[in-house]
Amino acid sequence: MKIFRNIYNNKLVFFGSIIILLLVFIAIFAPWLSRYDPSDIDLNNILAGPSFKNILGTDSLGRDLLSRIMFGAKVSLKVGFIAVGISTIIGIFIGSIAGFFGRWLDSLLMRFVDLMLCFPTFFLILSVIAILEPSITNIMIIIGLTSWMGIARIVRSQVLSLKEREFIQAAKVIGASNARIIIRHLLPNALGPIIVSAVLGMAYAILVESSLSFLGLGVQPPTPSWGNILIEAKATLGIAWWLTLFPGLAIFITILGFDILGEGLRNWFKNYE
Amino acid sequence: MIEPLVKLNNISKYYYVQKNFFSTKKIEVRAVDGISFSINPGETLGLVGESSCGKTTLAKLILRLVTPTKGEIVFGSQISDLRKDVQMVFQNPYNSLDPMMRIEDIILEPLLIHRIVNKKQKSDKALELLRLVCLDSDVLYRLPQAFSGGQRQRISLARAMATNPKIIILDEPVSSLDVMIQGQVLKLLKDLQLKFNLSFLFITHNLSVARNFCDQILVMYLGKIMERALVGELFNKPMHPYTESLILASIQKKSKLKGDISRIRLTRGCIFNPRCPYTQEKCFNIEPILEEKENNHFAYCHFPLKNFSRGEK
Repeated sequence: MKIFRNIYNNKLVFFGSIIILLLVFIAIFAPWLSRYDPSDIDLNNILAGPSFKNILGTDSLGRDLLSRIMFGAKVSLKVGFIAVGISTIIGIFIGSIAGFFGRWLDSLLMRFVDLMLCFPTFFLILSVIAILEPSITNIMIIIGLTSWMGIARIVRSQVLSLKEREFIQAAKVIGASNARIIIRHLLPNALGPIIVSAVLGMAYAILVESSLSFLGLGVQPPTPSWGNILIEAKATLGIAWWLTLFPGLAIFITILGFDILGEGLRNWFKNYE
Repeated sequence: MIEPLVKLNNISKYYYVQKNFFSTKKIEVRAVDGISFSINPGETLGLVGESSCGKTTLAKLILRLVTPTKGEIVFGSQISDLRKDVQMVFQNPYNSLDPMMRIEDIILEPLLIHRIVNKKQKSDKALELLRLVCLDSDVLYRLPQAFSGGQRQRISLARAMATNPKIIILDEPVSSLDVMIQGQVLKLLKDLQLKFNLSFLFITHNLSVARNFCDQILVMYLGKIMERALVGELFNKPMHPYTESLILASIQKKSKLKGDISRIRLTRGCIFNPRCPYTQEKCFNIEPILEEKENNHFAYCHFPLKNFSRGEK
């Protein structure tokens, strides 16, 4: 298969996708892979260091850290995928309309994008979450609603250059409607940059979710999330290094995975063109 | 008298460009300037001229891809739906097919848009169209990138033929193909024309191709028609100095003309006067009109040429 050889030859894509696939696998099969329930409290075994019994140690309530990180992966990836899904759909919609119809509609939509970019996004998210109640659903929606501007700009610029190509004229000649031209001709040809920015957006969404959970405005305990494992670890930072190191590593590896995959895909699509 | 398929009445398209960054004054560029002609059923009309003389704009005007500034285009009673009955084959075969679509989807798209075929007839119709342009059935499931220029141009033609059009506008369909393939594609076009009584508007800058392919020729310069005549008439007895120099350039590979084509009009009188080798005083004061000098031979010139030598003596 040519495509698999291409992926193997492109080291960034290769390693990035291996990390992501591994994470997705862990997140989906966490209930079967973990030896303990992430909310099982064992007061006889609190703050135990890494050992054969608890590979990554236990926290201040005696819960197994490995199981909590595995279940946390599920939350992080879910937030990442759904938030990026929302932002990509909004971004494609606004970007393609602005690029295709141009004129005053383009100016209007792009000024709106500028306006959204002017907000300090993180504080916007913080205040909205503070008003609403912090829950996974709210976080996914609010991250999605505040991170579509990059994709909108990319889609707009793609549409602007693609719509001058002759095959778009040809589609008009055979009587294709505007919606058909955008959906069947423009968007498939802009797919590469859209995928790249979606993958990079995933890293951003996961990072924001972790930060929110760390500030206590994200995923609420007892549901484990990398961010709220870290905040619980803060109290015992001096005596239990494993409680901060491993969730931090999990975040680090995930962001790295998405970033190198995104970077690799960007080079790949560039070569493809 | 035959009713024409489409009739252009004094059609014009002006574009406005800003003179420079600071000025608010706009300069008028006349891409197409007061052109009238008609296309009859079964006829091949050649449109000849240098690059950027407004040939493609004229094609887009007929297709309503751009709206005219002045004038009107009247479609005859035989044309009921512009998007079905008038089709176009584009100049650049590497740019006119959607690179993300399979050939089958490309050639069937017009039929799906106009709801001419249902799902069952789809593959039959696709094969029929491919047979029409002499391509094998194994091309159906591949992407355009797998094909050469000539093959792509046939695919474009199959797409144009899908809705059974009355007129096909051919915008330099062979200029980016090599000479062997040019002949094949032109022959294919001729065959299709005979079979379906098609009309062609054949846009080209290659005079020898136009000579072999067209019935009537319009010579265009800076958005205006310089001369209009049947092929034999035009090549044996050109009346306009511009036509003469085009013909000479195609035989002798050298140009009699001074200067270069300029989009912005600087002079009074005839628009061709900066480049014309035969100017007289009248040419700088009064603009000529396109008028019938001889039977069915129109020219935009005060002093049409009387005799033409090919310079072979």
